[in-house]
Amino acid sequence: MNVYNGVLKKKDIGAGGWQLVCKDGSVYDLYGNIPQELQNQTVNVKASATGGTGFLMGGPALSVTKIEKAN
Amino acid sequence: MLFFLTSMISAAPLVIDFQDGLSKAAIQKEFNLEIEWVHPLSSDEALAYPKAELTESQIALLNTSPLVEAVEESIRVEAFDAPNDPLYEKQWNFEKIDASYGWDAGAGQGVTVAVIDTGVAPVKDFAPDVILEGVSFVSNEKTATDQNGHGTHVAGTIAQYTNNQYGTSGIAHQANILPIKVLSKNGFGQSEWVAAGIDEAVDRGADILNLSLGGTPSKIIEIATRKALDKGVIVVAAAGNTGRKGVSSPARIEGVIAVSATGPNDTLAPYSSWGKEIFISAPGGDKTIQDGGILQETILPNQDTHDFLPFQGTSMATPHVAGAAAVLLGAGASNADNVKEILQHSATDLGPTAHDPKYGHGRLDIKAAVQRLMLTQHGLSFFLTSLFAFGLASFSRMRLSPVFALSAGSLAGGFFFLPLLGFSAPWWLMKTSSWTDGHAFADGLWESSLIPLLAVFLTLGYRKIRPLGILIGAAWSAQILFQSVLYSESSGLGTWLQFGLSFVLTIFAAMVHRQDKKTPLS
Repeated sequence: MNVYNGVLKKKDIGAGGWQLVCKDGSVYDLYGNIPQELQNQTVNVKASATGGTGFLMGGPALSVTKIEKAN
Repeated sequence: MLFFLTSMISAAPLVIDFQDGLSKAAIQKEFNLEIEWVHPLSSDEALAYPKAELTESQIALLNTSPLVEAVEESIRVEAFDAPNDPLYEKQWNFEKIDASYGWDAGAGQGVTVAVIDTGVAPVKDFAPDVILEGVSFVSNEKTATDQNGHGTHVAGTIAQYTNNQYGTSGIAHQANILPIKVLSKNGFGQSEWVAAGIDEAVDRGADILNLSLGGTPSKIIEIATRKALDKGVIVVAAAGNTGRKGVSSPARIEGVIAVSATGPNDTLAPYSSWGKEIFISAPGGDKTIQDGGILQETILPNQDTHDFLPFQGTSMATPHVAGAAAVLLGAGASNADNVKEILQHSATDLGPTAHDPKYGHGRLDIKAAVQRLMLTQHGLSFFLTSLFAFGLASFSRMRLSPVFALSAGSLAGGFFFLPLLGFSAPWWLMKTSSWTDGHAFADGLWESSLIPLLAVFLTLGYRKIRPLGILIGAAWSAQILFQSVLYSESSGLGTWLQFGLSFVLTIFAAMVHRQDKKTPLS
């Protein structure tokens, strides 16, 4: 399980989804229960990096197990 | 112009669909009924008209007999400009790709498209029985129904009920949808779910796989995809939504039809990924433009309600191509290679000429694709054209040797067969692409309907080669006539105008030639 840090962005693709935009420019697609109120906040995301798939296709897919606002 | 087949019931003879294989003698014996087959080829399906008007008791007997599958009044099929689905006018994407030509060509009847996605919900705008029983590979989500909305939207683009006075249309609405759920309700899928889903779709007899998904390249997904391709299944996949160079997997796997997305202005959608693997582009929506999304009926995420929602993404572009492939297979395309060849050569070239990394071979064009398929199926017309051209040449006493006349007639027939079918790519554009694409020059030449007119005009001033021009014009006219007579379903006003124009021009050229022969050369 890895922890990723970045800004949470809403992505208007398909039925809609979330992305994590990291400081180094890398982008991850996030799947899981993402609280709306964290939109555009810097967050820490705990997720498995086992290389899944999804319909967002904006970056590597992460299955989120925990997400919280970064301090 | 749009054409769409819709049904209008009128006072008409009864049609009886007996059990397949039932003979006339057996029908006579069982029902004491004289019948004639609807068509000589209808005897296998035992589709028949009664020779005399039936009594009510006879109809009742037929309706209850296990040897009869259906009794109904003959339904008259007429051409209409557009389907009556009220939201069709907002489906700019279907107008863009001339989807209605696919409806005239059977709309994918008999073809199964596996939608490997978040599942498919049976929303109201699917015809009964269109959605087959699916399967879920997602942990903790046992049924193949959709709780996200993505898979239903994708399936809707392929097969939403059309001309039903409700909602939106679908490209291949006579095809069946096989829901294979590999993405969870929040849209995520483990690679092993996707691989297993691909395997299962193939095992269940899917002709086409729609993969509006992607992610990190996975060996097991690649193996499953290759197996599907090896078995002749058509695999269509989304390029990805990074807005940058780099095609997602499985779209990047060799042999897969990778689809990038275009918007209402026929430019690459800002989110669409691109790269050398792109095979073709199709409308995927662009919501930065008003009403630029792709509209279909779907469910709202994690809710028990449904609505017509505009989505965007290469996920939305992919089912346009899968639907087109279903149309082509349903209309008689022989295999996956045939479908790919047709899609490649019928696409409307966008961006740099010929193949490019953003639009692939161009934007999907169902009209041109169906016409190209018809061409390959109706090769007989070429022979007839040549024969007729030769006959005309002899009849006109042009003093050409039979061998020369036949050669010229064949050449003329070859030249003019394709333009008749309405291929619309500008030939001068295609011609320039010959330097980068070996096939494009011939395509461009075939596709130019200017050539027969030019041939006649250019030869008018030269007595010695004028007969050739006349021959070309005559062959073109004959071809159109044959096409209209033999395949009248494809002839419209435009066909008759083309015929009239070429015929009048040919007669004019012949008259000029005849007059000219009476006067010495100056």
